[in-house]
Amino acid sequence: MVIEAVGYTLTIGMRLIVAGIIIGSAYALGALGLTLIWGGARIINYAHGELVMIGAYVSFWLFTAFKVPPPLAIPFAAGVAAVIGLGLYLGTIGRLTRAPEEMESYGLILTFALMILLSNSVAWMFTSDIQVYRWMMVPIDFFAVSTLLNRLMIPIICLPVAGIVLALMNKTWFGRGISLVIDNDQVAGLVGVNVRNAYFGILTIGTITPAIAGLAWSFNYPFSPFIGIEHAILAFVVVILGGLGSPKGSIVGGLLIGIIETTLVYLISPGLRLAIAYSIFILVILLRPSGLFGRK
Amino acid sequence: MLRVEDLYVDRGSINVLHGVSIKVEKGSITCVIGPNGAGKTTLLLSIVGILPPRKGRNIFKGKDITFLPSYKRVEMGMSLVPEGRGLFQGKTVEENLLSGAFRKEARLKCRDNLDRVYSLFPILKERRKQLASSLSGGEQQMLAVARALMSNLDFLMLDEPSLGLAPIIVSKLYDTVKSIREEGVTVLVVEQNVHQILRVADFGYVLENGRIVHADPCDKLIEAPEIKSAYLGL
Ligand SMILES: Nc1ncnc2c1ncn2[C@@H]1O[C@H](COP(=O)(O)OP(=O)(O)O)[C@@H](O)[C@H]1O
Ligand SMILES: [Mg+2]
Repeated sequence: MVIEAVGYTLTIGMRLIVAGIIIGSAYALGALGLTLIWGGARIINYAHGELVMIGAYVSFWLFTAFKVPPPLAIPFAAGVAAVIGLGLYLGTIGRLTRAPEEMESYGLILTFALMILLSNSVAWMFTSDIQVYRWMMVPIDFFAVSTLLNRLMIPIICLPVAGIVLALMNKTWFGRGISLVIDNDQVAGLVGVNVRNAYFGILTIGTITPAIAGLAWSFNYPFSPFIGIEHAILAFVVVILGGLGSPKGSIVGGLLIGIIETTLVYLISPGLRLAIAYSIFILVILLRPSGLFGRK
Repeated sequence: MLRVEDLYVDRGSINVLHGVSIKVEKGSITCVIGPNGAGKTTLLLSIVGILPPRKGRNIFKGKDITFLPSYKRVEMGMSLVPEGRGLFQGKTVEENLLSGAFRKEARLKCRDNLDRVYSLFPILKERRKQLASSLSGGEQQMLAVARALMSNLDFLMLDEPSLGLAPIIVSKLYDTVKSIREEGVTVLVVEQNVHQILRVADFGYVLENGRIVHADPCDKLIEAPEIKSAYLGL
């Protein structure tokens, strides 16, 4: 009796953790982009959620029009996002001669405009209808947890991409330069970092990762041109929890939020998803404003 | 090593430097002294490529670097220890040191250079896991100098290294600067606090209101009546 109950709780716990990691991996990858652009280029990217949305639509379109399986659509989603990143670069850092205070206001106006522009253009091209498409929707058992193969594809896509970004940041000189620019761009220039290139890298990686996260969402959950805001809010919470500008923090934070959210939604009610995220946000601000991995 | 020719630099709408020319001989310690607001920091920021001049040229190792971006100047072997030290406050002592080896030529010698600066500044080794922001003023200054050494540089610039340090720490710092010079590094120091630097440096310039008003070997400068009354309080 007791053993059965313990066994049951363990299975439920296991299931919640696996489900949490599955969606958390997409939160993590998306937030990685936001934390880089916000912590690194000091631009609050209001179009963050729209990048997630764009990734979803690129994959959706390639799949429905040309039967391209989503993993093969990654380069296209990344390409579209990188063009947006280039636009952001040219509109902010590229225009200014030096690392600048004005960046914040340039960034604000530009990303806000981008947010409207992206969601409206997608609504114009694809209508504002809610879209769904099915890919790999087959039940499987994974570590005693029954799930769907398309769900499992979320971490299979997101975690390696996040891993590549982390490796790039920690193991290459280009990435180390980015991490120095995140700490202090003026000093980074003085030790020999090509600050402009680093900013270009920050904006490119920062726009590509949410788009790939969106691609991974797209064959699991319904989406419309206006889903951006919800993804943006969650990403903000993850960034604050992980520590602004910390790539590792956004990955750990994303997985944690995924697990907490899945658990509380299971225990209380699915209607509380965003309320839970906000509560975590407030708790972090009160208890540890610098986040898990924030050092400033 | 370095020639600054007739340099005019503006900050915003203010003209700060009005035709400054200085020369730093290879292997020397050269200083530029002058009161607060004279334009000393502006001069160094222009040499390192952060403030582009309106007119004039900077020649480094025989090459015109006036329009070269900062990182390329670092690649050529110069390093500035900025006013207020300019450390990565959110990184540890060792991470700060390793950042000094960003220069391509220094990357491979990173480990050796790290051992070298740790033996030069044992305190930094003790503190290597601490955040730079947790060090005392003197330790931060040591760290800033040590980080510059990590770049395997041959031209070191120091912006008011004595600022906020006790005189005994300052003389220790200048002893280090002398031993760095013995290793073949050319040094340019700007200072407002001139007591010690004039005993350490070989050649000195006096910068006032954006113009060089004196240029002499330091042993002569120290005896000049104007310097004595204006800077040494004698
Ligand atoms: N960021 C700035 N913007 C505009 N003017 C500045 C700035 N920094 C310094 N200045 C002006 O430039 C002049 C020279 O400053 P600086 O080079 O810092 O002098 P010093 O290092 O000799 O004290 C001063 O008159 C100062 O008011
Ligand atoms: Mg100064």
